[in-house]
Amino acid sequence: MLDMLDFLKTEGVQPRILSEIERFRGQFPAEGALQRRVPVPRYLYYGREIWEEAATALLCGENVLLVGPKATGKNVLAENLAAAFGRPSWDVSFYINTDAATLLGTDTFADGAVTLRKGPIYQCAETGGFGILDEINMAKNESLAVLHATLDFRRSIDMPGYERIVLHDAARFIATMNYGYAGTRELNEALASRFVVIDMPAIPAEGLMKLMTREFPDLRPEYGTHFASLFQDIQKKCDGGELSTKPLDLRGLLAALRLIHAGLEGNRALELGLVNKSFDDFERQLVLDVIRARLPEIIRREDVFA
Amino acid sequence: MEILDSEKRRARNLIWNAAGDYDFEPELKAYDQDGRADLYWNSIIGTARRLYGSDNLQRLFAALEGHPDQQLFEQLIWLGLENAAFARESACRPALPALRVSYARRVLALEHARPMDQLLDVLESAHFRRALGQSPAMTPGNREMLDALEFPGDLDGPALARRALDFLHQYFHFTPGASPAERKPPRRRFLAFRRSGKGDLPAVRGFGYGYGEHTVPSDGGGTEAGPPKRRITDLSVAQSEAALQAYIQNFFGPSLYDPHTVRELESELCAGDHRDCRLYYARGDDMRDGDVRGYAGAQRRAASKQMEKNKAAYQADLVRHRAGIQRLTARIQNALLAYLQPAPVRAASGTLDPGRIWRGIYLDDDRVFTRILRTDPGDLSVDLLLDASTSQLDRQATVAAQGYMIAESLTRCGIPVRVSSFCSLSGYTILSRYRDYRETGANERIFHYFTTGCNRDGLAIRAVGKGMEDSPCEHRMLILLSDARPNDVVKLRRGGSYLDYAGQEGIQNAAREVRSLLHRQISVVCVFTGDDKDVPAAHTIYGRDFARIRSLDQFADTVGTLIQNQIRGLS
Repeated sequence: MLDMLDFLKTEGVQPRILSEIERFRGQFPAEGALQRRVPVPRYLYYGREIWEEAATALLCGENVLLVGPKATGKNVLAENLAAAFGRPSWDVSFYINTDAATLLGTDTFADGAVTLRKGPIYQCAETGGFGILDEINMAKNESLAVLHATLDFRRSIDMPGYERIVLHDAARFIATMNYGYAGTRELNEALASRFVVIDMPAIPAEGLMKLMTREFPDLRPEYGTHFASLFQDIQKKCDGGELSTKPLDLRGLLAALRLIHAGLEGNRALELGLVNKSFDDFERQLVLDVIRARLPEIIRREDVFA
Repeated sequence: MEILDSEKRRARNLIWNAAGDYDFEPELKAYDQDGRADLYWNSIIGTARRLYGSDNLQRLFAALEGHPDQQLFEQLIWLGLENAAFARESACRPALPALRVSYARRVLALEHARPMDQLLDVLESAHFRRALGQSPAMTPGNREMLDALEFPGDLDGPALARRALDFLHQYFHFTPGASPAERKPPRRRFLAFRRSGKGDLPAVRGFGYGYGEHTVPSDGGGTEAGPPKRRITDLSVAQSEAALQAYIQNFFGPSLYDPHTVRELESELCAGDHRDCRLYYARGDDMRDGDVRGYAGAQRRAASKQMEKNKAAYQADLVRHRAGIQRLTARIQNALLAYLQPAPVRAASGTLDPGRIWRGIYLDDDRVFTRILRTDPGDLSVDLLLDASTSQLDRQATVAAQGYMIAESLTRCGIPVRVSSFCSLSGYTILSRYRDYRETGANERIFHYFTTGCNRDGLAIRAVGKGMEDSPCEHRMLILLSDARPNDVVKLRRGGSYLDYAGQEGIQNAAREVRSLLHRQISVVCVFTGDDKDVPAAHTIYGRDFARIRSLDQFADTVGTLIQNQIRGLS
């Protein structure tokens, strides 16, 4: 298994921060059933500065809010952080109906009695886990008010009818948000002030190359560059307001590469992975044009992979 | 042949993509013989801009302007640029060689259909034969010229521009800035040149084997629009009802509906306070009709010119406009997703419903809790109505851009939108419809917006309200871009006396028509485009549902909030 600390060393993260993370891991080891909840990252986040900022904030006991447009690696970083700190994590995907019950827990009926079914935030608080609050701004601000006491200096959860619990010392919350997505809203000041905010930059070509090469070690470097440039072409189109962010899909690009690796012709794979992510005919045409202007008409597996 | 707006946008995108820059309006866009955006040429145009710099290319092509052989020179230079850009870019873009081969094959396939006795055809055909690896048969003179024209890829912008001008000088005795008298006759006078023209060339002209659309320089936006022109505002000028109708038709273009439908609409709508008025529904798509003469013809030409100004003003601030559209789209989408209707359902967890506990104990039914779920609020359509009276004269480009931004944002959210403008002339209230609910690709027609005459807001609101019965959706919303200053020459009848349709009377009438729509569950909001002194009038007509736009930067947020509030109220 990849040691996250070794990876961070190769990324050039300051040794002082690395030794602090190591100390944290020694102080709060994940044991027993919790060990299974420590994530094993599928992808790695590349970017020394962001790593240093996020790790320092968590070491100082802060909660972190990762803000950035689509395909900037917010979730990858959140998962990587939990792995680097060796803490169990709970993923909570926020949506419009997220309410106190979804987060903290809800009454349920068992054996003829009303009991509490603990929510992910409650479990995080008890066990000192890392709560990853995905797309936190999808939920209504008023339903997030229940988190205020959990996220600020009080570090506690007080549910009516149940015991007040104090957060475990290792518990941290990492929230992600994207201003551009449909359905998102502005985070109110009260909630935003309970996080330190990291503005996530777009993945540079170099980062994309590393990501693809780690995933596909046999990827030919020239094709790695072409795919990275293609992704940046689409990114520019989104920044220019010509495309929605639907086709700007890093997961989709990697899925397309996987399909090419399995033998599917490249353009068809890119259609499945990127083009068809948009459901608007004209938008699909624009993405096809970008692909057609960048890559050859026929892309065979042996062209792309050694 | 018509080039569709969608193909224009595609061509722009191809150029922007190759140029790696989205902050400019391309000066040339290329289309194939069917009017579709040309993948290869547009990529080359964008690449050339990136590699050689827009200033260098602009200066180079500006030097050719006004020459009798401008069109020929342009096409020759683009052949040379294509050669240079391809040589430099093909290594980074593996698609380019394949695109070039496919373009070359198309060129050769089409050359059988046309005589090959003209220089440009000969050079173009030979150039693309070389691209296919063939050795074309040519005269030594033509071969020498083609060799000189195929510029190498290692030149920088200024060197390439120099090389291009040297080429034209050597083979055509062209000297930048020289008057026609100073120009020596071309050495190869015996050759006829394909598609060469004189003086003002059309914006869309031959390019390769398809078309090139050149940006027409415009003289600024609507804020510098000239003073109001003379208006014909009474029957005596047009002399008879039939002549007046013909005049209105000449002025605003053909009618949207047949006379019978219009009569029926008039009998229903031109009643009460509007009983002496007439209606005219125009297609607001194209004002260019060379056959219309006289004052109406002059007005149509002015309208056509205004369209160019509207577009130019929009393009001049393209980035901010586009950012506005993006932000407004996100706002509307948020509102649509966020304000869903609550529906309580029984569930196995949630808020305990004490009246159902017995079911848990005796029936082993654990659904003794209540949860609130959200449901879809239903479809929404929007009508956008632009005030096109002379009071908006100084704001024409702004209103057109705002209308376009709202319509485009709504379209991107999948909301059917119909866009019309209204004005009153000689007793007629004219509604020009730029696009209908399903015409998702026709938003650019909004730039045809131009102002004239007065505005009878009350009748226009009433007529649009009637038209909204065609809406395919459960919920309907009307957005007006107006200065809240109703004013018309046809007076209001009150008993035996007549009152001016202006001031408080006009405002009260418009307010009544708005309230009548509200009673029919049509939400009405106003994007206020007027002056400080008319704010109270906007309050009277629209209540709280209006917003004032002070700067482009706050446009999306302000209009977004306005629309959001309405969507929140859907039930």
